[in-house]
Amino acid sequence: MRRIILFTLASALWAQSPNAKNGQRLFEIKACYQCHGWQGQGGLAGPRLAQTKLNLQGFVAILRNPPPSQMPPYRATVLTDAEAADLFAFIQSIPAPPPVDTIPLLKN
Amino acid sequence: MNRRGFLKGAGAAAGIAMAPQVAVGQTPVPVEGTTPVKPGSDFMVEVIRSLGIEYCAANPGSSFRGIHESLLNYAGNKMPELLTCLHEESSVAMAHGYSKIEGKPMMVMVHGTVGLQHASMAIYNAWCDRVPVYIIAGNILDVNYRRGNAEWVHSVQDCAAMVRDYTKWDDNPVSLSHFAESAVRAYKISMTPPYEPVLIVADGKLQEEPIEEKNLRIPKLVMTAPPQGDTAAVKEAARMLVAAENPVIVAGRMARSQHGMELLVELAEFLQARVQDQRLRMNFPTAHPLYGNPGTLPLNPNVTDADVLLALEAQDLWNFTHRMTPLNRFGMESQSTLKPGAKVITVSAVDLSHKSNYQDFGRYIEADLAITGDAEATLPALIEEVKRALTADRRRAIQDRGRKVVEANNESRKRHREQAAVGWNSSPISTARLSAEIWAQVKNEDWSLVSWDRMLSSWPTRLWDFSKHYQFIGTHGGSGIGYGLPAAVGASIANKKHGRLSINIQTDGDLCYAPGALWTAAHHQIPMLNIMHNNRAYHEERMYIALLGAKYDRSPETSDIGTALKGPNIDYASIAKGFGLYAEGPIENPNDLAPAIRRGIERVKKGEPVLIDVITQPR
Ligand code: HEC
Repeated sequence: MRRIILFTLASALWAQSPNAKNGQRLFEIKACYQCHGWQGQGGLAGPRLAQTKLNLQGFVAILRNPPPSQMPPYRATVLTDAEAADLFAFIQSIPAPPPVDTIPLLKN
Repeated sequence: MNRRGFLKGAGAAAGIAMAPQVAVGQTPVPVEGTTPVKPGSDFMVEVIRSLGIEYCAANPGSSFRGIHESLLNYAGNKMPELLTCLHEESSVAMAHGYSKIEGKPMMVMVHGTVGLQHASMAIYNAWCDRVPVYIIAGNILDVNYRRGNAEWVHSVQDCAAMVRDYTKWDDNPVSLSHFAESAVRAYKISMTPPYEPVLIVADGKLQEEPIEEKNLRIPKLVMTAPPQGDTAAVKEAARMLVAAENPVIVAGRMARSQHGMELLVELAEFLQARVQDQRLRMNFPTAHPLYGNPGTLPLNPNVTDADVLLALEAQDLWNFTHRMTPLNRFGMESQSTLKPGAKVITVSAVDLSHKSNYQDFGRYIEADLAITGDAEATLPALIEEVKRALTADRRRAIQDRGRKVVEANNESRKRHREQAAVGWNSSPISTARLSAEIWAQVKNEDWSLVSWDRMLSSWPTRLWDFSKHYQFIGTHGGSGIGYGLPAAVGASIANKKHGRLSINIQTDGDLCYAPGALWTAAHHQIPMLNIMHNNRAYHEERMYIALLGAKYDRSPETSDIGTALKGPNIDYASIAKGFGLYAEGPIENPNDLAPAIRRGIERVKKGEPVLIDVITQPR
């Protein structure tokens, strides 16, 4: 019994990381990186997504109906809810950057 | 085979019909003893030498062989010195890059037909970027002098027609004295702001026949003082700027020299106004507290807070003072993004030289005050008028405003550093990390970035301290790709005699157009550090395809077809080695960057070109 519980827990954890991994793949093939940077760091054409304060619902809402900007709307036909959730998982999985002061090359 | 034999053989084999005055079966007899004491091309070269041109970039072509031979055997391959190029587009782009550093033209020789066709895109770039290039096109106008098919297909009635839409002036001289006058005139026109490319046709017969004209002379080159804005208009501009609550300066192709930069600093400081640099020239020191936020698209700066906008040789002003329906929506609507009542002042010499066909002039600007004149030449008068108009009251208000600009500047610098830290250790290497690693190695050198940095999300602009005019060369002008590498080689040639360390952050797609420029760098021992920004795709185009896929409710996922440069991956280090360069890479681990760059710099300091391939994130 204990074994089974452990197993379920492990597979649940395991199921989460492929989502983020798939999200990373989607972030590339849906071309989100073009404006938001390869790791959501933000680029010249789109804001930073790494360490987003949005929740999944807010995130999906923006994908479906972004404010008038360079950001295209992604309807469910080109980006399913499940894919959106994977993308969100990826964005949440982006590690917080080290503090700038700990990176000698970025010290002023 | 001697010449007579060659003619006989060629005619017999191809069954060529002979000229009417020659009976069939008879071989035309070449005139014996024609070796001229002095061919026309010697004089042409003498004319070119009088212009003080240092280099001539060329891929060899028979239609200018006369000048080529004279450059070598009459002028000793000095002033100008020949640069062996492997593509005419690269020749012109080299001249383009050279001029960005040296502020004067390089000469380029091309075939009047095929060579000029190859060169034309690069000429268009130079035109859009308002850069002087001095082009000599070979041609054989007189049908009697076209020896065989190659010379027929390389001859043209109106050689310059092909590029007339994007050259400032051209001529097709029919005598040596005509050549002298037009060659000098062309130089002067090219170097009168707005600087632009010019073309002179060198006729084959004029080049290769003996000089017969008497009393040949070379006209004196008198450079034009650049056109300055109207005095009354400049005074009015100063009045508007001093009265403004929040004037913003946009600098496009503004500074032609270090002096131009210094003038802009002076103006900005008097006004305590933010400078939004479009990074088309080295206009303004990037570490200056009045430097506008470079973290946004530099070509489209945010100027919505301005009540007076001073646009100095700005590019596409309309585009960044208006919002247009983005590509991801249907239809087209636009509206001004300027504050209601905001005033626009433009200063530009480009108004003096417009053409119709190519649309590089952008949308019509409904300015409140449009001053025709070169911005750099107009600034001294504008600064004087601003000083005169500044009352004690205005000075106080201006100081307060300045403090706010400085605070915003500090804030954006902090944000950039935080943003740069995201993905710091990742592979592919982030463009921020790449830029920071290069900066760490070059900042104590006398360096010059001989490439545009927009493809790296402008990270060098955001993280490096650019303070000298020669430290940045801006961009291609016409977005014609294939410019980057040869322009970097040309700029590095200019930097060589000053002993500067040239750094070219080279995009992969651009290099693939004409990698032969690497060989030119190796052959002529041009010290330059080429660092590949190898992101393995034409990402800008990929974005458009993905965007349209989403817009039409189809798929953004196919967008790598026709845009990605993968499968097989291109091995740039091997390509560079093949052209005779020292090369390393591909580097995928960011921790390997610093030692590789150090090794590269060591070699560059010994006088050679080096290439380091780096696998990077897309932007
Ligand atoms: C063509 C450029 C572009 C592309 C491609 C793009 N975005 Fe955006 N995105 C933007 C811009 C610009 C904004 C800012 C919109 C605004 O607030 O004006 C934005 C905003 C967002 C936001 C809101 C950020 C916030 O905190 O407010 C999210 C989330 C987002 N994008 C996710 C995505 C995802 C996921 C994709 C890929 C499926 C994507 N974007 C593709 C340009 C783009």
